Amino acid sequence: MKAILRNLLIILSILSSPLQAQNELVNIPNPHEWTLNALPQFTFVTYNGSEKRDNVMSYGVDLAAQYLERGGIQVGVAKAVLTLKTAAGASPNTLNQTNVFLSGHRQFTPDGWGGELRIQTDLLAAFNDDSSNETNDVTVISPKISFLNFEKTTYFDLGLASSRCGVSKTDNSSLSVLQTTPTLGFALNKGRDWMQFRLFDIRFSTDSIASASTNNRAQNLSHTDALDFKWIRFLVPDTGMPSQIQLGALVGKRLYAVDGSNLSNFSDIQQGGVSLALLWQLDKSNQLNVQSGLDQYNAGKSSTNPSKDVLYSGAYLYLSLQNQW
Amino acid sequence: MNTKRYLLAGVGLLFSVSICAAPVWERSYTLEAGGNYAGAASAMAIVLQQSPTHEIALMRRAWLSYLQGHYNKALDDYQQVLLINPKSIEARLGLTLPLMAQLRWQEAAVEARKIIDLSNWNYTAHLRMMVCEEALQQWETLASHATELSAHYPSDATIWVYLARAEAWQAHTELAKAAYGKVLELMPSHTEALAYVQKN
Repeated sequence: MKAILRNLLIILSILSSPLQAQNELVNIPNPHEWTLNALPQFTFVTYNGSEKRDNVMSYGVDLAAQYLERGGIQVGVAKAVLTLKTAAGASPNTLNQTNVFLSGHRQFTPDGWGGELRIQTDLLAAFNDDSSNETNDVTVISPKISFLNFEKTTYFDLGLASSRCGVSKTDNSSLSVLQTTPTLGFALNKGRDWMQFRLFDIRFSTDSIASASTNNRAQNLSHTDALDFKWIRFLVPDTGMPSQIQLGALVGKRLYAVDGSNLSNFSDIQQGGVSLALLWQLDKSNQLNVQSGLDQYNAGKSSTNPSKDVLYSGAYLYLSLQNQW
Repeated sequence: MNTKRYLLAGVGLLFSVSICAAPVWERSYTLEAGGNYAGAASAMAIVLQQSPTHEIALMRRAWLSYLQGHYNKALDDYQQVLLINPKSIEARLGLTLPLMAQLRWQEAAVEARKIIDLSNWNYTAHLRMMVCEEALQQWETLASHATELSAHYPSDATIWVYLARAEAWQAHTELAKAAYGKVLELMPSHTEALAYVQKN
């Protein structure tokens, strides 16, 4: 009897050992084919010196899905409320806007190129309750081709953005905008620093239904040029310390610019700006981004003193929390 | 009588094919040994012209493409082998090499994991997966993976090095020192381990 029991135990242990070997693997996580990201974000801008604008509050969320190193898609939606200045005692006047963003990209690693080629197309749209319709019904298609070498020391891209703004209800004019953005980026100090320059060449044009007043919607300009500069310092993560510090500056003039998932649909010219951003890696899947900046604008001729341009500034605070799973 | 004749003809044909094929393979290996990977691959092209689904020739051409830096061509051939023989661990291991060369770490890790699912403690697959985890800076994952693997290969210094690096990146100094200590037991002059232990 004892012998039978012993043999039974031996058989059971032999049978169970492969199962144990299988179970041991549970401790090694499976690599994911899909990486998903959610990015809730909030922006507040307060204006100083503007005749019309008081502040903007915007909130939204971006969702992104990346399949291995092959490609991905991104969708985003944001609501913005622009509070306009009103006469003392008048009820607050606001403009409510919805921004929609859809993006898709495909990555390639052609032999002999020594890096990754990416082809991306963004679609952007903005809808609002602007009574003139000039800032409403804005649609943008923006293709981009980019290259980053394997060493992650050199980057360049060429982006285009073709925008159409709503037909004006005041003078029936329409506005088309074509933006070209060549970009060059490179690493310094063995990858501890990153510098990037992006040129914004933006051209405004009339179309068949437009009148000569089209250029008035672009402050009588046929084009603007601006250079955006970014410097990023990557830090070794430490308790409470950010993992990235980013300084940005814009020189030149920029109007109706499309910058990533952001589009500007107001006729005020941005002429310069500075920004500072800090990024904290909270844990392995959460990042907090805090950015603040000051931008200078030119709103064109003053309504009270037509010989002078209205120059004003916008100070902003941007917060986002990226969650990856 | 006819059956016998056909049988003899068949055996003769097989024999002549193997006699003819042998110099091609020999030439390919000789050219590879001399560093002429393109020439070695051309020799395989002759085999594949006659037999496009020749598994070993496809594997070999894939390897030679990888050596030449023709990573996409290598991937295509390894994928073709997997269509012919889905059980091939070698082809799947082969896939990981050009993927890693193209820094497609996530994809290489997924392929390595498929091998591990087929052959639980395949050393090469685990090692390549750990290389990917390091490149993706998945320190927590790498630490647990290296710990698991070190139980199966306790005298392998490479695994202890990965464990030590993962712990060091997580600022677990004592755990990193312990792992580097294991490395020094196995390789007393290991530069990286010596430097870390002396510094900490």
